[in-house]
Amino acid sequence: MLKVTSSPHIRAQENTRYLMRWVLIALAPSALYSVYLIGTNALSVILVSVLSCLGVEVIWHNLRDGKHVSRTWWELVFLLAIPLLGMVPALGAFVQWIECVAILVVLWFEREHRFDGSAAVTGLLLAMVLPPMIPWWVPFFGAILAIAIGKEIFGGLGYNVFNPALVARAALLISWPRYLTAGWFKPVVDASTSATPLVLFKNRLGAEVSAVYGPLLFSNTGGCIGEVSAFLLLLGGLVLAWKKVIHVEIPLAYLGTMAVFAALAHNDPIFHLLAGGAMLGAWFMATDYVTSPLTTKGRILFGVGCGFITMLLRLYGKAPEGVTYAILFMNMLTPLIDRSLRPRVYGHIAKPVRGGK
Amino acid sequence: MNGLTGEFARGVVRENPLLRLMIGLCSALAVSVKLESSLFMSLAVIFVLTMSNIVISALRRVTPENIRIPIFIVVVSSFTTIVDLVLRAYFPAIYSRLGVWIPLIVVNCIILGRAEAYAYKNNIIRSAMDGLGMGLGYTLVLLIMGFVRELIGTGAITLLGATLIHMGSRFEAPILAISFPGAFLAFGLLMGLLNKLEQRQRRAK
Repeated sequence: MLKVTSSPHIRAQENTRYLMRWVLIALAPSALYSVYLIGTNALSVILVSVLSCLGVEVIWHNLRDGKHVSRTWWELVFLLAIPLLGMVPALGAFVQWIECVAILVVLWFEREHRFDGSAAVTGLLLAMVLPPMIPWWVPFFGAILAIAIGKEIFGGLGYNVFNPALVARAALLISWPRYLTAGWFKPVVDASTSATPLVLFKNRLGAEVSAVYGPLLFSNTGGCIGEVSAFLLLLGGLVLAWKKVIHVEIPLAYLGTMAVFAALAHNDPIFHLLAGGAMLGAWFMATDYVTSPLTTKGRILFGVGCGFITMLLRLYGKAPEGVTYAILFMNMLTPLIDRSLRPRVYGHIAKPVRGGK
Repeated sequence: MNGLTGEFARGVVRENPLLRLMIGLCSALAVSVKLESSLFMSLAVIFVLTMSNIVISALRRVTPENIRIPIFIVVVSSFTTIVDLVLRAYFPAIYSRLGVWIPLIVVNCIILGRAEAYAYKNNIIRSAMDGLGMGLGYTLVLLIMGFVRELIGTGAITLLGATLIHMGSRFEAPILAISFPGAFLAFGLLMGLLNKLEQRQRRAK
């Protein structure tokens, strides 16, 4: 293909698959570590979430592009019928594994479909923000919401306004609050459920929790699948920053703002950075290319806004955590930030723009 | 389709007040949480819309242009008050559920919009057909949304105290469907579906 463009040209290795592969690699230690600590529950949530996202994407793309339409409809019916097997008492406990195998079969049939990897990242991120002791169909419906409502209905990757994984989490949080606000993991005692550090903090028991950074950094806290170890998340984030996969100014502005806010409000800044979804949100969610601003100045503003709203919700809101809503809210402002901080084109004389400064 | 049938049919799909003109959305999103409240709200809107269209059309030659809006409001609010009192007298339970949305029919954009855009310029029969057609379009959207949202969000459909459909105790209803975000989601999906169907129809021609 001959493509005529003006110089200079740079040939870059970067494409969506490359970037998404690095995000998956960076998330892998946290995910594997949580599977190691929590066991099959975490594994099933992660597998169901990732595979369902891939399945929904392939079915949507086929139906949208009119490829293998009749086969795709059968696949859709097939995958949606399997949860009904849960009605059969003997099968109740294995439905999630049957569904996983069924999706794998469907993906094998659709093996010529070109995945860009973004659905896998969405699925993994969705699993990371769910409690591990959750019925398997919650991540299943979450994946449908994330890919269909969060991404494809806007026109697919690149057109979505909100981070798909967070859209799904917000929708699931409204839909089934009792599953989303319980079922946390507490590894040391007996792998049963317990309150998260932020819930304890909310109930004014924060003093004793905030004294221990070790558990927050290395695994021993209650929380979502992705919250078991702030250290591994930080490591993954730094790897992404080193490979220049993410723009480092967003997490820095995000976490910096949180720390400053916490210090000014006489709270423990380090506790707030390590607890809850701050690390996951700042390094992996807020840095989504599609839903964050394009310019450096815009990205700093975006990060500051996220950090500010997160702390506002944590300290003065009703719920213990605010990362989800903070990032979704700033996602909404991203087009506005991009428009108001548009860089001046070199050599272009600025003239009063309609509605501009 | 021409003449009176055309006036009637136009409001149902092609110029559906909710999905196409996108007016009167506020109360529609709020009351579509239950099939029952959707049904009664629709009946109230059909009544007020048709009657006020007739009266405004009848008075159009004697209505001074400068003060036509206050006159429309007086006419609309008379019929709204009738609906309000009837519902309060005979269906107190439904009246308390619909709450403020019944008195607010006075300022519903659909009714004032049809008065201004149609009834003020057309004769009585055409205005009546316009009111009925627009009312039917409103009703269809509201009933679909009310049915889907109540069924998914609560797992059952109840109408006047009788349970019509029950999904069973194993069904864990997502609260999203009966929350406000669910209203916007259902409305947006319905609008997208209609556009998709119309696109397909146009392509088939």
